[in-house]
Amino acid sequence: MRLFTLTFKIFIGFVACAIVAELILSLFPVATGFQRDTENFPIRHWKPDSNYVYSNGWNFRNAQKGSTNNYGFSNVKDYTKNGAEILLIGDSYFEAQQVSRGNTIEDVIQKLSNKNTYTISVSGSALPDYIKYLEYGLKEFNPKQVVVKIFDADLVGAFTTEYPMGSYFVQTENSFILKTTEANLTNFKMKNFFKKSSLLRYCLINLKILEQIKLAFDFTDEDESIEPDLELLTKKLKVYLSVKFKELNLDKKSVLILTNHETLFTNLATDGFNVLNIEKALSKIEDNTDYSMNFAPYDYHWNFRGHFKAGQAVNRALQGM
Amino acid sequence: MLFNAPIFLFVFLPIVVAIYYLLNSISKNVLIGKVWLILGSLFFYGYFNPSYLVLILGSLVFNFIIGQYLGKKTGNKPVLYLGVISNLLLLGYYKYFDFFIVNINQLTGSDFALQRLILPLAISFFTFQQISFLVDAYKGKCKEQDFLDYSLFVTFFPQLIAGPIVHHSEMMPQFAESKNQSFHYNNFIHGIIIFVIGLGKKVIIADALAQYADPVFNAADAGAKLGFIEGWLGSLAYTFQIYFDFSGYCDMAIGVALLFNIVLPINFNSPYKSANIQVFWRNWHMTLSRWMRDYIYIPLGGGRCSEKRVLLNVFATAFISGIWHGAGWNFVLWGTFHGGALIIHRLWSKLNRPLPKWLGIFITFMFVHVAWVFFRAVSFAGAIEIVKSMFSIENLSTPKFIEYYQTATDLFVAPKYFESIQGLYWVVIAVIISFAGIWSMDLAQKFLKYKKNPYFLGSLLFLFLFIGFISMGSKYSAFIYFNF
Repeated sequence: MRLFTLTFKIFIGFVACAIVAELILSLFPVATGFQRDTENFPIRHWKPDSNYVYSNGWNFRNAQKGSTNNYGFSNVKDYTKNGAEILLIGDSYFEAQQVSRGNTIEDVIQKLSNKNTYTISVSGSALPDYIKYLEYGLKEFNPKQVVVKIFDADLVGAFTTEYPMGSYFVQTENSFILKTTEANLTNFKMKNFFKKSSLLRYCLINLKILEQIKLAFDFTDEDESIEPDLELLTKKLKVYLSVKFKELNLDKKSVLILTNHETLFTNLATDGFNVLNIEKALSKIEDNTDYSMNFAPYDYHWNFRGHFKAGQAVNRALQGM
Repeated sequence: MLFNAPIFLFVFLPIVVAIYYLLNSISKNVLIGKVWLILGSLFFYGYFNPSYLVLILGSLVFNFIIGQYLGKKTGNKPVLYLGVISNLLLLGYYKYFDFFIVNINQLTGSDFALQRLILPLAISFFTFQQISFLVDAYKGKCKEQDFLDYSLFVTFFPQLIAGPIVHHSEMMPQFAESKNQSFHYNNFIHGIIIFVIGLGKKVIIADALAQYADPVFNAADAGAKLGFIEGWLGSLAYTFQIYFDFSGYCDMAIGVALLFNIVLPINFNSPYKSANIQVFWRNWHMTLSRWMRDYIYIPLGGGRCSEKRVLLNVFATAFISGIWHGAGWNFVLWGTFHGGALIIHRLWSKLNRPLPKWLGIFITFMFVHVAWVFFRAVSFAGAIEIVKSMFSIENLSTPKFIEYYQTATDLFVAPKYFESIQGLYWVVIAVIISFAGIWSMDLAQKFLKYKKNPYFLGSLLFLFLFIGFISMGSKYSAFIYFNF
């Protein structure tokens, strides 16, 4: 009984300290992540018209505030049906939580091209999700030009089934088959509920504690991990995209594929595909300007300068198409 | 293994402590507990690179044998020289060989190949500790017959990697004390409190400051031109980064040792509050200063010779302390600066015109601060650029941080080296804590009053986990002194 009382008192001390931490953290820009939408929707997206805070690391670096629009994508402007002239499809790179609104690649392209530019980009997406976004975006927004981000990580991560409501590829001999997992709305509700706590958000989003635990206790030898055959995957992707574009009645010439990898670039830049190696384009701008810091420190996404330069490069490529 | 790594915090430390007391409680033979501690310490040391174990074990065996000879027959100078010179050669080979070759090549135009040796972890610390053992054995101040005891003295993991540099005579009686073999609640809680304070200093303050010091020093080393404000903020960020990094490490080492009922010597005592450079060195890395005094300054003659010779001894000691920190001209310069400052202090003291305390603190801090620039910068040109920027008033302009450029129209004008205005806030926090804060040991004593309060224990557990999580989230950088 004495042990029970002692343990209980220790627990109360622990909880009291956690409550103090909760209160203190609520004064700081703890990352909120996005609210998940608990209504059914054809593709992954966030809760429409909700606010979010982005900050990186334990000391809230690069704090940014933003909101989602009427379709549930991170954007200050609402979308209208058939309203896009240029549609960007991608993940966190295009979603751009890391930069202030007005400085994202989408904003830069819109400013430079003077064309209505939309983006369907959700962090944590990979290539199979982009295909779903493409199907949806073409039907809903009827753009004249489309930019799809396909970095090596998008292709390598195309086979994972772990994302909620995410799509994934299954490989066949020559191509891929697209599959989608169903949305678990109860799980979404639970996540939204837990996100109300600053302390939990701090541990899970700012500190990325689950990923860190996994990393800290992962003793697999890096040399033993199997390198994916990017060459073969790219060949299969080309077959898949050719069929998909035909199926969607999409002219290859109106699509710009944005990549960061030479293998992807050389294999895709044939048969009428427009491909831009953004890494090379950024280096070229760097050579002319002597500025090389394109990434947010400790975050590995483009910073405002990266977005500005990438927007310039993409706009130039779109004009030449 | 790092004190702030999750594998240490949540796996290694709890297991080693729990099994140590378990073994001591089930066996009357203290040997088993000692063997367990030595094995744990060797695992701790070899965690990153097991090949280093060969080196430390070789060094252990060699010095133990030499120590045996010295203990048997007092006044055996050749054996002492053999031991000391062998230790210095080992240290010199790993630490200074490439530096020596680079300079020979530059001076003579020769093309001797560099060895590109990776400095074995803690070599400077365990070498110095063992040299002091040999000298003490030669003087008959200590005697060690037991190889296990000797191994524990050198490898005891709380002090192995970056000190404190301990004497055989202050450690071994503690290991031999039978009451230290059993669990002591008071020491345990005291240890945890000091450890949590140290972990907080390292993870929350030092690592935060590093994020603002590193870009400025990297930019200067890469040839960028810095402004007045950037120069000052970058250098101040480093001055406080190294302070909290080393102070945090020392607290953590003392805290971990206390979990085993071992009291390590105090190694850090609010050095930036020092009113002169001599007091600074009495409070910064105190056990290294003690080692330098006992094994360099005093054997050179200390203060009991002509004034000129005393000044030379003072300078030589500071100079050796400088190059002990690393092989590079920057460290040579840093040691020279401190040697010069100690000489000036000694000469000033003779005039019998003491400065007001606040002025003494200000001058000492400013000197130490500027000297740290040379200590931190990789290149001499980088150090000069930073110092130049600090003293060029014509460069004075309103500081523009990344927050400013994010809303600017011309995005290409943003500098590469200064990240965020948050760096300025961190420097201010660090200044307040270092000059107006309570010394960790006093702070721990204040908290220790609540050691039997279960609510306090719950809070302590929360803080331990929370700061441990922050350490994980901030990618737990290595301690600066691990490089020496």
